[in-house]
Amino acid sequence: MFHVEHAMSLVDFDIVVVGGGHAGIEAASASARMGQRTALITMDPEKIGLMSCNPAIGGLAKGQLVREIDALGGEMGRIIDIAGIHFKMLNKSKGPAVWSPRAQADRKLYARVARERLSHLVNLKIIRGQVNGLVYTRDRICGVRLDDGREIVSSVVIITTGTFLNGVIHIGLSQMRSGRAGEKPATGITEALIENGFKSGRLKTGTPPRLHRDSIDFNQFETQEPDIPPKPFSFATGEIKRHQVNCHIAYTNSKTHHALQEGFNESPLFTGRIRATGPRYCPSIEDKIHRFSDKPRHQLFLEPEGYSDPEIYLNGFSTSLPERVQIKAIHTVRGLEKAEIVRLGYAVEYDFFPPHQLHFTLETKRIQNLYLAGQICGTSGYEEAAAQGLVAGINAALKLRNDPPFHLDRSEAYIGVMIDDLINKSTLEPYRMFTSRAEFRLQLRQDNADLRLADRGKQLDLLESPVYDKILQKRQHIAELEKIVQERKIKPAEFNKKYAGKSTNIKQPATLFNLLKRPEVHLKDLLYKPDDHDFMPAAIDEVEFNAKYEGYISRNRDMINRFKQYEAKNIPADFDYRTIKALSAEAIEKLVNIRPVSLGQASRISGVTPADLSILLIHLERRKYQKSKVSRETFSVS
Amino acid sequence: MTKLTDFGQTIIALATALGTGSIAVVRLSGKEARHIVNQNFVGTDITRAKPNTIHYGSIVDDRIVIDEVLVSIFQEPNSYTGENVVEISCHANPIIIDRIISRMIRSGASHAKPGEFTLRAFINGKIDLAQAEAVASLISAKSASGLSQAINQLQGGLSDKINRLRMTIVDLVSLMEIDLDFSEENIEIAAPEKLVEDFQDLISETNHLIESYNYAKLFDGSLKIALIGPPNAGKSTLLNSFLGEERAITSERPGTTRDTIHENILIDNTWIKLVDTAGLRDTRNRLELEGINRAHAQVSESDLVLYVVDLTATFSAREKQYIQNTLNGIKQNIIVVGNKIDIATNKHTLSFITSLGFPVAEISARNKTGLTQLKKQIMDIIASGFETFKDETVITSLRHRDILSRVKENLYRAKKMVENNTGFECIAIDLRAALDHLGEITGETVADDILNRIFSGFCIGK
Repeated sequence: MFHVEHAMSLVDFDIVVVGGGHAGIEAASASARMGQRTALITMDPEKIGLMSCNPAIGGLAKGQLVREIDALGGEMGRIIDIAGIHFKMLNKSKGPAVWSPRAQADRKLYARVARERLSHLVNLKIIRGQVNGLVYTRDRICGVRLDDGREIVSSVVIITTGTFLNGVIHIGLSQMRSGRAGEKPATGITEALIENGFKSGRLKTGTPPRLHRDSIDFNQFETQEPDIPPKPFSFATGEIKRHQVNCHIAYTNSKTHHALQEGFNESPLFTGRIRATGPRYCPSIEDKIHRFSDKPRHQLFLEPEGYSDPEIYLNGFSTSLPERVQIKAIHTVRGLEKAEIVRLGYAVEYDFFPPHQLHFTLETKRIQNLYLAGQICGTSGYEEAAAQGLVAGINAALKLRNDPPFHLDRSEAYIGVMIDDLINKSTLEPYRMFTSRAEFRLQLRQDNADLRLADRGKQLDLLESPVYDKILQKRQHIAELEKIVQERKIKPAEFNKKYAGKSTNIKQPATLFNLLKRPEVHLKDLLYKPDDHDFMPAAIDEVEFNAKYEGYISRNRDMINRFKQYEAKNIPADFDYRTIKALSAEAIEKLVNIRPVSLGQASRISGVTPADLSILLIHLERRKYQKSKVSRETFSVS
Repeated sequence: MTKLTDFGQTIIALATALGTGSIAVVRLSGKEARHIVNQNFVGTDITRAKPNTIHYGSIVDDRIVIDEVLVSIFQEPNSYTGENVVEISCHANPIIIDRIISRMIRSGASHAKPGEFTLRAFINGKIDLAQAEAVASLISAKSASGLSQAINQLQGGLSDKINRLRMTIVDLVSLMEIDLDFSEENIEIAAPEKLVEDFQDLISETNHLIESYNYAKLFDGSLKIALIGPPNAGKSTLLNSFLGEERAITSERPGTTRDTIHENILIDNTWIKLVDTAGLRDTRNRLELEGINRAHAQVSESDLVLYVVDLTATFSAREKQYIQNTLNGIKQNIIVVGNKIDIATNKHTLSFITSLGFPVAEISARNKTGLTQLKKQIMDIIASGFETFKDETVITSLRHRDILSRVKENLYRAKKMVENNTGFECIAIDLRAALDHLGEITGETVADDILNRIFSGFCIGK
């Protein structure tokens, strides 16, 4: 059991985290482990870490985020490794640069593991309560107010309320104020922020119905088996011993589509009841049918919510159509004719705050020491939220210690890509990570997150030494292997014998490096010396990848260098855009609002044209030139 | 990603104005300026030459001499831009200029954007702000607003073609990104054979575009002079005189030139297309009428019209009226050329044509008298029409051609990768690079376009 604070008096904390979802967990954990006295305030401590929607972690591009969170010492990878019941590496048929790990979890177990891990943190107190107000002095946060009258004083507040802010749930034409099925919404926070001049918007996200396992005829479906053995997310996990389960694939048909169409005029989307924008890429089933009416069938995935949980999550059937329509439509699917719907699908509409109002540290620009992270910033997905929570928690702690902030750029991590996108682009819809958002995708792979980020995790004291040491060893092995691969040669006789019929013969001895260029040749097969057995498989994979993709990697490296040049062209914080007449009006507005720190960041702001950038460059250079002139002159005078 | 000026690149461009004078200066600025020129220069070793010196030699392309030139060396920071600058003074023949620039680009230079030299000069503290600002918007505005009007006219709707090329590539990249980011949905991606075909089509399309930026064609396509006039006025003879050969068929009988004949001539180092046409007269002869219609069509596409009249002929009142009407109906500039001045004893026709209200030239095509004067009149009129034909137009065109060549390389590599079954995540690198390059012409960014394309066209969602 964990300790829950019920005291009625003022409590002092360094950092308060509002909301116990995926962002809140990472923020609270990082903050506590970095030595800050932290409080996590949640309406229901039993629901910490409870997945609102899909009971799965990872997926395309999201799996990369989880690996990065893990390399930095975050929680998500560790939790899913314990609670995962169906692990799969996606995109295995494609190149390693786009492989993404994914795992389905036993939902209740996941939440329990999350709570347990938090309960072990010495600096963390979990407080049951609902925040309905913020406390400020001038433009700095100093705490939160709870609905029972308590005030909690703290130096930093991190808001990670997810979909709860003024949440409204829609099923058909009925609505109910709720943050998640069966839970109250959060009120007061949006109003407090708007009072301070923050801009807010409305977003919506949908969730599918849950069905009762015993009412489903699984024989009618294709089975989807997990990877055996399951590959862990975390670099800290050894082996996953937990029993793995199968998933199943079902299909809608024309009867399903007709049934759904009958309900369109009662759909909150179609009747305009929900004015908020939903994601284009995770549309409800009614969206799919409406927009792609010529497609004869849509795929559905039946995902178990847990070993002993009787609920099955019907992935692909996100909907907010009325009850009878959902029931009728589901019953037209082969295998689901008698399915019992345990929970209806619904749409939840909620407040969010466009993230251009944040610095790259996720601190708000208007109120010091106030941070926003997660779905409240307009992202969708647990992994996106967790990454932001981690960044916010780390930066809040660093700020309190007067240390320089934590920043990842677009060439270092997907986390960097996401935060850069969030603070620079205007989001009209929930932001989700795709590999195509990362221009340096080839370098940001799920398998090298540790090599890229473990140093940072160690520096922050979030990544523990034994794990870090393993990563150092991997690096060591890679260095040795790179040397071997460049220097060691294989004689024609050996190679031709081993690869007879599989690869063309060689006439001269060839280095391993050159041979690895051939797709059919794998490094592990070429390492036959007795010492070679000791090399870590992960190291072998990395060196092989570098050899096979060498051309692309060096081209990418050039691009990265040019990218970094522009990132390094700093724009002073007091730069007065309004005095530059040549800039377009739209650019001035955006630049003043966002205040990019570098020319590189400026180039990514929508509304800033190449012409504007040229002008900016000129003025920056002029300022530099004048400053150096002045200092030279002063020097000569004295 | 936008490129402002990349100091890692050595830039090159024509530094002198077009169409005037007999010497052109091609300028290179950047770290590698000397090295790049030296690779293609026969004379002294440019890399060892002292600054502020001039050297005589030849620019060669694989040992074939392109031109004899003077090369001026400037050492950073004492140059126009503040970088290492090499200026090549060559003959102002567009083909020569083009060859020299292309050769240097193949050796590693990249074509300057309009005003890029000036921008570098400013950044290096050589000139002041006002001028630099004006120039900076030039660099990007030309890109952002698409191809300028002048170029569009010259090249016939190229911006449309470039946009289509771009959209096709966006479609291809989107397909690939869908395959990578949404492989869990069942969305059919094109078969490899079809992709290879698509790339081949794109490469051909890009080649066509590159062709249309052919430097010589800048003149070829736009500067056109139509020779029209009554039958047997001596048009074909005049054409031959300009050419110096007996290309067109001349004979005593009127009405010989039924078809239109095009020839390129060099007047004052400027290439001009001369079009000889059938004789214009009031006729019912069907074949003749066809020729006359074609002549009028040529006129409408020309920049200048030479109306050639035989000074020894006499015209009836009706014929005079016909001539006056024809001339009044022409929008282009006209020079009325009175031919056979050497044997025209009667001054009537001469005073008739002088009274028409157009500039007049008196020549003998056969004896080649009065031609120099006529050429000068032609160039004066054309030079005044050169308004739309500024240096930046040409520079922008050459730069576009340079960009399109890089795009072609990207596409070619992508095609090879598809043939080798390379993963889409690698092919996407080249395709996005191609889009980045095209974006330098059209001013559009890549990333949002692809996402938009994906979501508008495909059913995604789980």
